[in-house]
Amino acid sequence: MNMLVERPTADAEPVFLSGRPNHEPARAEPTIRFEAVSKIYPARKGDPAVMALDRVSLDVAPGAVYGIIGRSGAGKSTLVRVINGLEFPTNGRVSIDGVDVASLDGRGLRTLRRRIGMIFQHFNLLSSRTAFANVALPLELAGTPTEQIRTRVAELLDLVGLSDKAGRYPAELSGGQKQRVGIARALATEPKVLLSDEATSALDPETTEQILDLLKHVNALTGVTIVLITHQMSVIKSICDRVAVLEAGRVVEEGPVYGVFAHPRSETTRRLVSSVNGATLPQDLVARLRTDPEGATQTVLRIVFTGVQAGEPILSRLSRSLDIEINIMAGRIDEIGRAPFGNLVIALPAKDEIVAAAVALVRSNGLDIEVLGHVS
Amino acid sequence: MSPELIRLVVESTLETLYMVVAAGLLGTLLGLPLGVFLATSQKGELFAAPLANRVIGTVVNATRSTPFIILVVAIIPFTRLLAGTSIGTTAAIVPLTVAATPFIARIVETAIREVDQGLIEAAKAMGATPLQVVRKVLLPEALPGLTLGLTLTVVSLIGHSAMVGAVGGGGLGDLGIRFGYQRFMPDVMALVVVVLIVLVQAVQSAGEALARRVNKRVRRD
Repeated sequence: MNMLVERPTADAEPVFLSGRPNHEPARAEPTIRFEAVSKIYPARKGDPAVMALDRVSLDVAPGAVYGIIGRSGAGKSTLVRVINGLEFPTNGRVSIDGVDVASLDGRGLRTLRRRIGMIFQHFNLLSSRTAFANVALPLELAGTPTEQIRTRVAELLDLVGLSDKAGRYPAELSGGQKQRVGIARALATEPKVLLSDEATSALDPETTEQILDLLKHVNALTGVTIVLITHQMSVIKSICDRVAVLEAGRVVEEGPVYGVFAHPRSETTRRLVSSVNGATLPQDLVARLRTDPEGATQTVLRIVFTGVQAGEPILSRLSRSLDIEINIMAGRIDEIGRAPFGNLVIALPAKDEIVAAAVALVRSNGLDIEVLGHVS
Repeated sequence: MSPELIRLVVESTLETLYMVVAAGLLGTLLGLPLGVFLATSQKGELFAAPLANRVIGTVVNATRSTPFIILVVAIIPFTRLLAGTSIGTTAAIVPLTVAATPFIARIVETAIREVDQGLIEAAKAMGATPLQVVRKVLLPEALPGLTLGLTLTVVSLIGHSAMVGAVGGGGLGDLGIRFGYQRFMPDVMALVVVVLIVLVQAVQSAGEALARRVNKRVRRD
């Protein structure tokens, strides 16, 4: 068993993550449960067999926004597709509200799929249908009466802010607008679960932010459980409650987003995290940095903000109590779930006693600090 | 040119139109489902039936590789069975349909295969039945391609209809051979060719205009 995959226990999570009391009862039955799910694509001529998922176990609580991150080829697409039975596991079990997806017949599967909306990277809108008719499609498929379809679609287009584009064809819409239509379509049958397959990967950063805001809004409004796969850590950061890191089909890390961000345990996670927390140093600083303190005028340190104490005015405290000047070299502070997160690279006078005192002071404030090297 | 000849040209044009329209409609009726099946029955597809796919694919290829004039005479018994006779304009519709059906099937298959796989996946994820996927997604999305393909079919049917004179099918091609060539009346030949050109041009233009209208994939103002 993978020790990283624990049952979600709300009381183990930091205070700042419990900002969702309405939809996340402490120990609710999970909406989606993966039990040692493996998926092997058999070898085809020329290509060896591929293990897309390797004993994945995880629980998604009702109303959660659950992120799955990994590089391309990590098995994310497969993972999201075994939830609505577009693919089936080779081994293990996926259950939705306690029902094994693999046990359903064609009719049962179609009923399930009406309860699970899905949005896609390339939107997958029908080019022959207007925005209105695209949103209406799942309702038509379900045999909803025309009159009802009309009111429901109008409601949905209003929700996503596209009431004025109802008669437009996808070719006449921007990427962000297309994804809004996709979201409206996915919500048409009032699903319990919304699957997002790299839904923002084809969008620019600003549009991405808008789409994520819309998803957040929909989650808060309807309590729909969102499972979102992405290769962008920034997406996880801005919207998810929990995250699973996927590497070569295995869950290498899983937990509340802040915990995973602040204390990455696997190499994959560290690399992903460094893309958003500014852990990578500027090139010119790297070039000047020496390990040998001999003749150096300044020592470079990295302060890592990983917890609730990050609100403390640590720099001014350092400066005042040690009576030194602090030079900020690089850094980035972000907020995840209302707690500051990130790191700051500073330079202090290269004196052993000053550096030691600074390290002690920072640590006593509950922050991490490390010496990176010396510059002259 | 005598009024008698003009009358003959008009009559032959109507015969050609009759054969082409009838064979086009019947061929579509048969070729459309066949094409949908070919496009959706390979391994792992909506109506997966790889063996049937291969068998039907082979029959379609065989029919398409038989020269039309040979097909016409080869299926005379079949024509007689269906039309009651193997001679005449109505009888000629049988071989024309037999030739058009596999042609249309391949055209439908190609047009459907052009539809983005993502749309099929999206429809399945919405809980669509396989038939709903065909009706609500594949056919509407393939419509521009289907329209152009059917235009192509009609044009090639006009060409083929010239050959059914061999079994007394009548039509413009037959008139051209009998009067223009065998009786050496170049004016008749010229007129027949002009009418055919106008006919093909009209069909092509109408088809393209229609395809443009149903194509919503490109942005237009």
